[in-house]
Amino acid sequence: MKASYLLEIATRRLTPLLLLFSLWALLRGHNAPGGGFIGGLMAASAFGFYSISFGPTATRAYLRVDPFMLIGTGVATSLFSGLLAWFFGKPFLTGLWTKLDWAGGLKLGTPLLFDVGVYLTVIGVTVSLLLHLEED
Amino acid sequence: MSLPLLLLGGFVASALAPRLCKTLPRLGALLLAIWPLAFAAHLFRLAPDILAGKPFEHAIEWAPALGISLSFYVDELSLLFGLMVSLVGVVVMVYAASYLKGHAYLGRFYAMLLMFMTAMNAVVCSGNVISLFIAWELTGISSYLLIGFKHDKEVPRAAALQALLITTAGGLALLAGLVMVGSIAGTYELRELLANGDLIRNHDLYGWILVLILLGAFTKSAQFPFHFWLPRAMEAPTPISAYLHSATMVKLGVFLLARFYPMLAGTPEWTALLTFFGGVTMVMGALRSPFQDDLKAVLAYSTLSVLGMLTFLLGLGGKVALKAVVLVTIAHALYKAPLFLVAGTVDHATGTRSVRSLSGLRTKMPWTFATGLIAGLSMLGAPPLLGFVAKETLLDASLASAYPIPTTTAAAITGIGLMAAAWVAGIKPFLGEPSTAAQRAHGVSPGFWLGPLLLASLGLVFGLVTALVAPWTLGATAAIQGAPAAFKVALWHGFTPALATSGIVLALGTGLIALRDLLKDRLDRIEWRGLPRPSTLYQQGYEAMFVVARGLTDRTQSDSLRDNLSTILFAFLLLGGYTLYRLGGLPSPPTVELHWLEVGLGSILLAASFAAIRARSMLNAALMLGVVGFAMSAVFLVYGAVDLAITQIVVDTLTVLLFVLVVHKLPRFARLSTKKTMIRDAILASLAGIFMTFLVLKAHQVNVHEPISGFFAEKAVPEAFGRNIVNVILVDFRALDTLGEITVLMAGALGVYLLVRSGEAKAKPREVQGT
Repeated sequence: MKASYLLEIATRRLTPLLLLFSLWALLRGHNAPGGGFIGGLMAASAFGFYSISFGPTATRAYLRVDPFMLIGTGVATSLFSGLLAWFFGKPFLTGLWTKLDWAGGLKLGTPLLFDVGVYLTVIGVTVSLLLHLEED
Repeated sequence: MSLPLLLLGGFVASALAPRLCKTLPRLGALLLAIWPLAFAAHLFRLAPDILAGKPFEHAIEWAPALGISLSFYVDELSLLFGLMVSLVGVVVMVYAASYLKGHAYLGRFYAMLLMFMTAMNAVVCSGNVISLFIAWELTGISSYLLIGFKHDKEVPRAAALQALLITTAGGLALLAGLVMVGSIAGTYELRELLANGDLIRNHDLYGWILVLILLGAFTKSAQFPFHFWLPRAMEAPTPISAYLHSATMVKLGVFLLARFYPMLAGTPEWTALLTFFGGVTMVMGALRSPFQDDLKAVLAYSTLSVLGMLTFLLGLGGKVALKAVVLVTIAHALYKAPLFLVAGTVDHATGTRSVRSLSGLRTKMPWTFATGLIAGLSMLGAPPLLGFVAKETLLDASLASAYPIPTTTAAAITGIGLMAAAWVAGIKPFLGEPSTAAQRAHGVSPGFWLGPLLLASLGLVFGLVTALVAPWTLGATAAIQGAPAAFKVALWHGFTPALATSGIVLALGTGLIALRDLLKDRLDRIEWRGLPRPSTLYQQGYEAMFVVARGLTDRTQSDSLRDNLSTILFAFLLLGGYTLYRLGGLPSPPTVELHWLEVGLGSILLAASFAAIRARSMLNAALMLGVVGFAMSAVFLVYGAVDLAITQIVVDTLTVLLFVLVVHKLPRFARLSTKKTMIRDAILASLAGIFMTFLVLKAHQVNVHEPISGFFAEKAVPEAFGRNIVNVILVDFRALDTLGEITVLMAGALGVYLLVRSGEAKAKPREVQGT
């Protein structure tokens, strides 16, 4: 089945933008609406549109890595961000923060890393679900 | 800090193993063996301090609110077991490089082995019973993978599952026991628990605690009546059997009993349970062992016997018995692992492990013969090997017990049986005229005999120079009993009653060796029927579980979505209604001033809902539900829940996407319900809706607990540096919940994958994937 040209062109232009937008939502999440879960769902719907326009095989190629790889990496990242606290003698999942003076006083912390893990997991789970349903 | 890091390194090595074995198929295994070697070296470095009576301790906080910490406590007992696990591990890893040369799953093998090894070391070094339990379960899971290593065959898979089910069922009992201990003593820290033994022993629940912990230890160490999983686990490749069933996995139960000795031992219940079940296992294993035909089965039953012996000795208690525990543990590791590896070499060279078809192998594999001979002699308790010292101490302990006649008889029978087993497994295959299998055998490379010979020779060296093992034995005995120990470890004790008994055992054992073949013929002709066997009971229980599960599923689960929804809504109405009644009945009518925006959104919601119900095509219904979703998110926006609104929008977009993907696979739209069922459903749905409205209104009027939202709002910025409270809760305050949720998501994705795959598998044969 061939999708419409309109859809194809729109998807081709919009997918990178949507992905960028999802990253923005992920990064601003700690202080403004957004976060890993919302960002992940946004990115997943971007891949969903791509899949409707170009089919599951093209989507897998566009994604480059297996969705399960994303899930595993995601859960491992979140777990790791929690384990990091142990190396500083703090209980599991304690948030650690550092202030980067060279970057204008930007504050970075393990909760962000944790959120990145959530982001990756949500993308992986949703995309694998979409693709499996489409390939079935 | 270096011990935890080393343990972490074990898991890292395990993760790297598959890749390493692929790039360096020859060298990879030897490189990976560096890990256990390094761990052993580290233990040796800690040893002087520990043997001087200063255990190594280190704690990392984990969940301080629950009293759970990742703490390490390495005393003489941990030292002994840790060294055994690591050094036998090195030998097994090097041996496996020859035994499994060119195997497609070599990397996977080492990954599992290293995971298991690390978990074992974590158990013996744990200083908190909860972290001990986690490592304990990890050994169960990794040994399940190891036993089922030949996963493409039905029998090993079943054997692995059986071992897993029995040991994890015991593990659950153990956890319950540990939690009880923890709540009584108010701590999970091992050192504090061991110091407060009287508190546990004098508690009303002591009996329950003892039984629960013993269930964990007995299942793991294959004590009667849970013994049957061990001989079946021989389905694993021989290096795995050598490792799991000589020095490590099955010794964990014994380790646990020794570990908790200061806390649990010394009561009549302890003595009765341990000596009875240990004694039965010991005698039964020793009597069955020499009459097996499979070399590995001979060794498996003799392992059962030794495990029973250790439990029995711990039950007897006292200085001499504990000394025997330590010596038997060391001697057993040093002879049983080589004997298993010898059996593996024989199997590899001749293609059979049948005692009947093996003889005269000494010319083809002289070094393997030497290994079998030394290890076999130690096992049959001949001087001057360490096995002799261990056996003497065992007899000493039985003679000194409160009931010397039954205990010494049991110990002597065990000695006789083990002698014959040692002969059958270690020496007999090499003597006599070469059999057909022996003539066809190929020679073996040094990789096959170097490690095992080294281990077996240690048994000889330690027997000759007992001064080498004496400090370790003293230390470990002191650690078990929780008080300093003083005794001598010597090959020659003078003319004692134990020596006389030993002489009788030697004479009778030699007789049994001479008569073994004749007796086996007789025994094989007897049909063992009518005896209730624990393995049959297990099988029946296993099948009954499926019958119950299927019956339960049939009764409660229906394929109809409407039936399931009705059940849920009905239960919701019933239970929720009861709660509402308990909280003082219907809510008082709210005073509201409706804004035009709320009225508008409400109308859209209602209209779209009705349109969805009345829709005459799937697509329309889905679109209308989409409208409901978007209107809901508008409601969230109006009330300022921006995060919720965004999530709702994205989820609705995805739902529509999903629907579009599957719509062409769905059957044509049809009305299947009759008028009557539709009315029934409508009533149920309306009731649920009305009730939900009441519930929301009531929730505003009742205050059961002080709301926690104030805490979050107050602490979000100063403690978590975030202004978005929803996100701060997700990634910081309640991060553990989120971690659990994404893990559930992962499991869900795997479930969908498997469902789709099983659908495909029915349609076309499934391709087998390599590592």
